[in-house]
Parts: sequence; C-alpha cells; structure tokens
Amino acid sequence: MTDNEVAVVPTKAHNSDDAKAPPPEPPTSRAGRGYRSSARRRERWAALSFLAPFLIGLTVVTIGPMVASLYLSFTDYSLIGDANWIGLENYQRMLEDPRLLTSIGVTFRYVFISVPLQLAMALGLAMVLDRGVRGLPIYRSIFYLPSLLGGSVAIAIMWRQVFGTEGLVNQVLAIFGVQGQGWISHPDYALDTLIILNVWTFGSPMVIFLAGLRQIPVMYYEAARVDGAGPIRRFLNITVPLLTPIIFFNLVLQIINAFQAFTQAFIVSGGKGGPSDSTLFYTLYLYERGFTAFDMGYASALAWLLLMIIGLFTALNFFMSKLWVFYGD
Amino acid sequence: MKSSNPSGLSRRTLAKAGLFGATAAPLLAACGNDGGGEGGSGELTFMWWGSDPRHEYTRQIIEAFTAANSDVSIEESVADWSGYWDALNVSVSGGNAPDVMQHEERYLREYAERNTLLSLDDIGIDMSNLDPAVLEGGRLDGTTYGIGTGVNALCLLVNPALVDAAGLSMPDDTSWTWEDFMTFVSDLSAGGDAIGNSGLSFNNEALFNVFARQRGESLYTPDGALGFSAETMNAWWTMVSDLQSSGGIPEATVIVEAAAAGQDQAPLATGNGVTEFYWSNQVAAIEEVLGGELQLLRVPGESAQSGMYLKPAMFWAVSAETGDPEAAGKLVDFLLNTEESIDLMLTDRGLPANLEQRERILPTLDAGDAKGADFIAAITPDLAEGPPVPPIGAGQIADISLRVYEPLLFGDADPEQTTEQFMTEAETAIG
Repeated sequence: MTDNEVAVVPTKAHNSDDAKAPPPEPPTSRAGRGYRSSARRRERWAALSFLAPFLIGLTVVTIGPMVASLYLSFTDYSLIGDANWIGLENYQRMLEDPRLLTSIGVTFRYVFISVPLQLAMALGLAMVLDRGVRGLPIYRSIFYLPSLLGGSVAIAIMWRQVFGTEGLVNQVLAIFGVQGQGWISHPDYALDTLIILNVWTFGSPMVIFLAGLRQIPVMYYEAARVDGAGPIRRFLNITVPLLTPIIFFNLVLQIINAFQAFTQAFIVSGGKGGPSDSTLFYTLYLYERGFTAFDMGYASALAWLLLMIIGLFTALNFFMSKLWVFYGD
Repeated sequence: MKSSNPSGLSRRTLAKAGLFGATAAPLLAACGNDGGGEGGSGELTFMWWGSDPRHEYTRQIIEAFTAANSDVSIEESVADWSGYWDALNVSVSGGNAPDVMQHEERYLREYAERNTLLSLDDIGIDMSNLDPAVLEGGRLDGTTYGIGTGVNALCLLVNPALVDAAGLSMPDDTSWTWEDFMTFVSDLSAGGDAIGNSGLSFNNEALFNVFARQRGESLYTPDGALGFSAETMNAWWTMVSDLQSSGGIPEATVIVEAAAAGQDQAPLATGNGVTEFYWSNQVAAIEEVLGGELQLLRVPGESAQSGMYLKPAMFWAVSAETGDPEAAGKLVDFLLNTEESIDLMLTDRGLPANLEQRERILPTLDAGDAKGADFIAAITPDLAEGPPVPPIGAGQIADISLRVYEPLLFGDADPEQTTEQFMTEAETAIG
C-alpha cells in the first residue's frame, strides 16, 4: 500500500489535466515516474474498456429510457401518436383516480404482508439447515428452487390450477370434508394466493441468511451456553443482533422486489387485475394504462410515482436501520 | 481488528443495492419512439391473431400468394387475441408496424385517427364484389381504413341433447322474450345436471348493444357518445342478478374461472353448460371440442324491434408506414377476392365479404360452418341497420364491463351501482 501511495501522489497534478502532456522529467531523479504515469493512464483505459459493457448498458437500457419516461410523464403520449407537452396534468389526474388508490392499496397489502412472512420463513429454515443437516447442499438447492421459478409464467399458471375450484388445495380440503371454492377467482382470497406464492419464494433470502449464520463465531454460542443461556436467549441475544445487517439487506431487497411484482398477478388474473380489481397491482395498472388504454404519458407518470414510493420506503428503511441494525464496527 | 459484521456488507454497499433496485421501476414504462418505415420494396410483414388452425391455413394462403407474386416476400407475426393489441401497440409505437394486419372495429378508429393506417381506396384493391354494408363498416368520413373479412352475428348456442335431458323443448326463437329466456335457462338448471347459461356474456358489450337496440337505444351514438339510458342498463344488470338468484347462471367464482379458462374450456364446450352467447363463426370450433351438435338461436327479444346486426368479424388494414403500399394492396386483395384464399379461410373470419365467393363456397361448407351461414341468411331479412364504428377508447369498454360485472356477481354492488360505475368509467374512456 505505502509503495503505491508514494508513487501516486505526485502524479495527481498531471492526471487532473489530461489535455497537457506531462512535462519532461529530469532523467536522473525519480526515474520511474514517467513510466508509472503512462502505466496509470493505460490502466485507466483498461478499466474503462472493461467497464464499457456495463456503462453502455446502463446508459442505453437504464438511464436513457428513464429520461425518456420522465419526459413522457409530462406529455399526453398515447403510444401510437405524437407526444404533446401537457405539464403536470398527468400528476394532477392521479389525485382523482380511484383505481390508482385501489392499486396502491393492493400493492401495500401485498408488500407488507408477504415480505415479513417470507423473511420469517427464510430465517426459520436457514436456522434449521444451519444445524448441520446431512446433505445440506441438496436441501439448500431444493429450497432455493422456488426462488428461481416463482416469477415465472409456468408457476403462475400452475398456481391458477392449484387454487382453482377443482384444484389441489380443494382436493386436499375435500379429504377433511371441507368444501372449498375457487380461491383465485374470489375477490376476497385472490390476493392471498399471490401472497402465498411470494412467501413460497423464500429461497434467495434463505441462502443469504444461511451465509450470515455461518459467519457468526461458534465461540459466542459456546460462551453463552457456559453462562447458562437457553436456545431462545441465544437466538435473541446472539443470532438476531449479529444478523441484523443481513435482515436489513434482505428486507430492503424484498420490499423493492415486492413493489415491482408483476408476472404473477398478470398471469393469475389474466392480465386484468381481477376479480373486481382485487389483484390490481400497481405495476399491472401501470401496464394496463400504458399498453392497452393508449395512456402512456399517464403510465410514465405512474412509473415515476412508483419510483418515488419505492425510494421513500428505501430511505425510510435506511433511516430506521440506525435504530436497530448492529454493524459491530 | 476484524469487523464482527458477519455479512461483510457496509452501509454504503447496502445503499447502492437499494438505489439500483429502485431505479428499475421507471423502465417499465419507458419506451422509445423512433419513426422510420420498415422494409424495402416487396417485403411485407403480416400480423394476425387467432388459434392454431387459423395460423395453419393462413400460412397456406401466404404460400399461395407468394407463389403467384414471386417479387413479394412475407414475414408473419402471430399472437392470440389477448396479447395481440399490446404487441401491435408497441410495434406501431416503435415504428415497426406490420404492413398488413388484422384489425377490429373497436380499435379501428383509434388507429385511423392517429394516422397509423393507410387509406385502402387506391392501392389496387378490387372492391366491386364486396358487400357494401361490410365496406361501410370500415369507412371513416368516406375513407376506407379497414375492409371487413366477413360478417358475423351474435347468437345463442344451445346444446339440444342437454335440453332433452332436462326434459324441455327448444323455444321459438323468433318470438321469445328475455323473460322467456330467463325462465328457459332457470328451468334447464333445475331440470338437468348442466347449468342453464354459463353467464360469460352479460359483460359482452355487443350483447348489451343488441338489448339496447331492441329498446330503440344503442351502445354508442354515431358521434361517439354513450347512446343508452341508465334505465336500460339497470334492467340489464337486474336481469343478471335475477338469473343468479334463480340459478340460471352459476355462482360467481365459477363464472370468473370459466371466463379465464377460454373458449375451449368454457362450460358449453365441456358439456357442463347448456347455452351461451357466441358469434356465429365460433360454432364449428366449439362443436368440435364438444364432440356434439349445437343449435343456433336468435338473441331473445327480437320480435318487436330487432337489435341484432351483422358485424364485420375483423378487418384487413394496412400500415401508413408501409414501405410497399402496392404489395400490401395486392395481399389484401388476394385475401379478400381469390378462390385460393377463400377456399382455405371459409367462414373462419366470418361469412366472406366477397359476395361472389360467399355464394360459391356456401354449398361446400361442412355442417358446422353451414349452420352459421344458414343462420345469417335466415336472420338477414329481419335485421336493422348496423351500429356505427365505435368511438376512440372503445377498446377499453370490454375491460370496464368485466370490472363492473364481477362486483355485481359477488354481491358487492347492486344493479344501479353497477350501471353508474359502468357509465362513469365508459364516459372517461371514450371521452
């Protein structure tokens, strides 16, 4: 480290002014300097070229479309016509849009019920697996599988079958003499089936929890046991505090993911958010406005509102994290 | 000293993760808008919706066309109905509109008035043999933007075997009223194992249009406003809730599920329902799935004032941005007017608009298709004039209608509230 610093500091002045060629150096003193400077420049080009695929992707696929959608959110763009500037009209329309409220309600219910359940499930199973089960990699893969599949069209279609009138759930209920109904097709239960689907994809936070649990030094537990702490005490006073950064990480990611849930609701409700708008996720409403109702300007504004909502909750999360996340450093 | 943070993650890393997650959201609605025509001379893209049999014979028609016009090459693009409009909207917006496309009356005005469709009047399409009424259905202010592929009529499909099983006889459809219909389907449910009517069509705005026209009203006025009174729609929804309490239609969840399952899994096709309203060109396909005979009845309530009409099943339209209008015109002409095309298409896209071809194929149709054709021939003398081209925004009416229908079925709204909700939302949509 120190070697580098000595060499780097003097060249900074030149690097900050690329237009000028570095002045010739006296050949006797600091012989390596000119060489190092050009090596640094080469390295920077190397770095840039390695980063280029990412930077190009970021600009073309993320930042460009974002700027475009910000602009479109101030227009009456219909998807197949010209975009005319209408100022804040789209944003004002949101205030009087009952279906927007419905969609926000549905999305919030989904996020704030499914994420805690999913994380609790993930942590619970991670702790079971952490006890050193034989064949751990196999179990880990099995439990991780739903995470890979959960967002897929095939699973959503399967879900429709499983929770249908003639579906698996009702067949199991029938064994116990309970006459089930069509869960997906009833406005009171349709969202619950999607919440269950999201909870079922607990695999990815579970794997992260598992990695976190592995990092907690065993000696803490041994010391606690010697002092007579029971399993609950050890969980609350050792596992949870040391795991809070992981819990926090999973919480932030899963909340963001859940806010953007789309595929499941789209497939399960046939793209309509039904029955009776009971599964009208925010993203689904946004999609409907943009792509089927020729209302892309408004849809763009909706996208920015969603960005703000997610940003707000993420910020809130980080703010709250000061109160409960223990970094140990 | 080593940090005891087991994740090895810092606050900053976490902040970045959060930020990147959040920035993905606006991508959902981001969409480029580059203009620019597609393809050079003689290269056409052709887009249509439908099911596998339609894809197959349409490909054969394309082959016949390119065999006769070796200077034209055609690239196909197919979708099913539900994904078609999203895909078409996106490709039009991206400047990649298909040169020739299948269109529908509820979207025709939207696309035409936004200057995305080419006038079909002078790109060499022979219209001399086409049914004038069909041609009128694709004209806006005197310009032809779409040409109807053929005509359809709404009808009530009835499974006669199940009617027998319930111990009932077929009603006289020239004189029956909506009350007769309600009694009929309720008795069917009571007398047999199958449900009298599967309840999939009361949110179909075309069926409601027939009901409104029978009362001297209509779904839309010619200048694009709603053309019916709240009383008429109240009567409509009241009939639905009465049917539900009399057992004529199934419980709400069953209807929602059947609607999602699609035509082949719907109660009529599976033999679990005795009647349902469909378009006349659908009868052959449903009979095939059912493996039994169906009978076509007129919509009830036609005796005093007729509300039924012949609807252009779908339209052929050409993109305003096509690189080769002449070739596109040739293709549309080929689809509409040649024996090669009609022999393959038969009545799948409605009874052909070309009257000469229609006459020619009628005797050759198989039983299912012939039924639809005979039905149209039988009702045509009694029909009133067709409704005007629907206004911009009409493509949303089906969704709105479904959205108000479901709360009614689940008992969360009464007929008056349902009407009010429908009219408010529909007025916003067609603005």
